[in-house]
Amino acid sequence: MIFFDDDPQNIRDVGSLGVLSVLTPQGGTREVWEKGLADYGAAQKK
Amino acid sequence: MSFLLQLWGGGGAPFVYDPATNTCKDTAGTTCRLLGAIPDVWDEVGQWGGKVAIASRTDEPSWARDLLCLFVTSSGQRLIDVVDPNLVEMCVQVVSLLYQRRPGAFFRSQNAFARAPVFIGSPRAHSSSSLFKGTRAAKRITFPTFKRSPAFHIPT
Repeated sequence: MIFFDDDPQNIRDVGSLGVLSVLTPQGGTREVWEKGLADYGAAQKK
Repeated sequence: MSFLLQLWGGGGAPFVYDPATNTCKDTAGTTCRLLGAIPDVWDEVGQWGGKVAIASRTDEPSWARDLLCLFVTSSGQRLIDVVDPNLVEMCVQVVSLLYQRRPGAFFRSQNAFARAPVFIGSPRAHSSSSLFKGTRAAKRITFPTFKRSPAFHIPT
């Protein structure tokens, strides 16, 4: 699961559960989406 | 449901969808469109066979529901068809967020982390809305409730 949200508190809360969480201060942009996918892929390889 | 932030012109549902531009107009003539890369991103999720979960605080959950049924992804798939119906919680927005469950609590309770590959939250811009100052959550609306409601419809 990848969690996207623009609220830093939500990012902290959900991230603390072990879910990859991506802050989206400018909304659902291509940049944050690709960052989320890249980070998720990297996390899966660990 | 960030697209709702465009609809503060005094209009609201019912919406008229324009398939040529993938936009919706409310009763005041205000145009609402999907923001950022949402049409492409949701399309990718749908093409993987994935699902999107939603936990959103909004002043108008029924508008969000209607618009999810109208907007389409970049390949023409309706947004609502990419959503996991068991992982939707849209609460009426209030100023004090202390009365509402945050996304972490909701998804933990639904065991969502094992099921949904993507979760897209919503802006908190409404939290300062003077319209709702001093109020608190009146109800919580879940997707199954939407589907059972006589008002629920899927526009064609």
